[in-house]
Amino acid sequence: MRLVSFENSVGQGRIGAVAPDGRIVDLNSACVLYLRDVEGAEACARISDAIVPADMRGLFEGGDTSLEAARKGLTTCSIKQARCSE
Amino acid sequence: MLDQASPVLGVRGEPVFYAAEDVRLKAPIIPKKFFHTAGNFREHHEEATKAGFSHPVMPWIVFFQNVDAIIGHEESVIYPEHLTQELDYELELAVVLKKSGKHFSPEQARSYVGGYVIFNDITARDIQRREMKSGVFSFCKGIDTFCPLGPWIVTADEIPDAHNLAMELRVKRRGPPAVALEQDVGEDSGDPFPLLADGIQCGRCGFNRDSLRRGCF
Repeated sequence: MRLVSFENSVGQGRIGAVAPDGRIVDLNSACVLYLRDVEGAEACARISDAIVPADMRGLFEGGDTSLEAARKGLTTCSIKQARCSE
Repeated sequence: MLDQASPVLGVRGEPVFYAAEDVRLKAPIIPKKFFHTAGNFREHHEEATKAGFSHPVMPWIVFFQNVDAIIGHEESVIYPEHLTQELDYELELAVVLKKSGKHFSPEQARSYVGGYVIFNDITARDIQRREMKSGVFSFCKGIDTFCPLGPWIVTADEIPDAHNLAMELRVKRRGPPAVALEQDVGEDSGDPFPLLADGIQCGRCGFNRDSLRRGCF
């Protein structure tokens, strides 16, 4: 993954990954979708805030657990995006 | 701004995909501690020996970079002309750690690496020359905006060989034309893994035990 920190249009600090098409995927939001749609987690937003926070230092503090969750979120959203484009 | 081509929304209706031009990239990480080393590239080390410093710059000495000097990709470096007349740039590679640890071997050190990021090691050479009379690196590299970082961190799984990388630094000056510096991290570069294991271990360097926390460099 190519990991970035960015400020969105309303000035929120977020972290993301660069998708193959150059767009930025919000990793916290992507992980929420992964937890809800793939893992079936009811507390998906709270879990995502803990393991894939909107802060890069927090992501690395979570070690492999957090990096893997971020990767799964990125993959989940890339697949959703591809299906929507079909 | 929501990328209009993207139908994927988050659970709160927020955008998940952003067009690159709709966001402002910041420094990818502001570490809690930034261990900086000198003499990482042998050619830099050889140049330093010709610079007339009063003390030798030994390879892989460790000092702290001022994390408040970090700025993001394409943010402007401020040339503080009231402080220095000799600003220099130097492309460097940083390692982002993903777990805490101490007293590990060079082989074990690889498992601590979460990713890699390039940064520009801006130095006020005239200040450095004065500081070197006391054998220190400090203010010369730690002034505001002297540490452009990024644009991104590449996770370690995508870099099987950190000794075989190409890096690029672009300098946009007001007035003179842009300067591009390309640099390879090749066989002539220092190996960061023995450095991680040998140079930054708490016992040898006298740092306290939290000196290798996750998210630090």
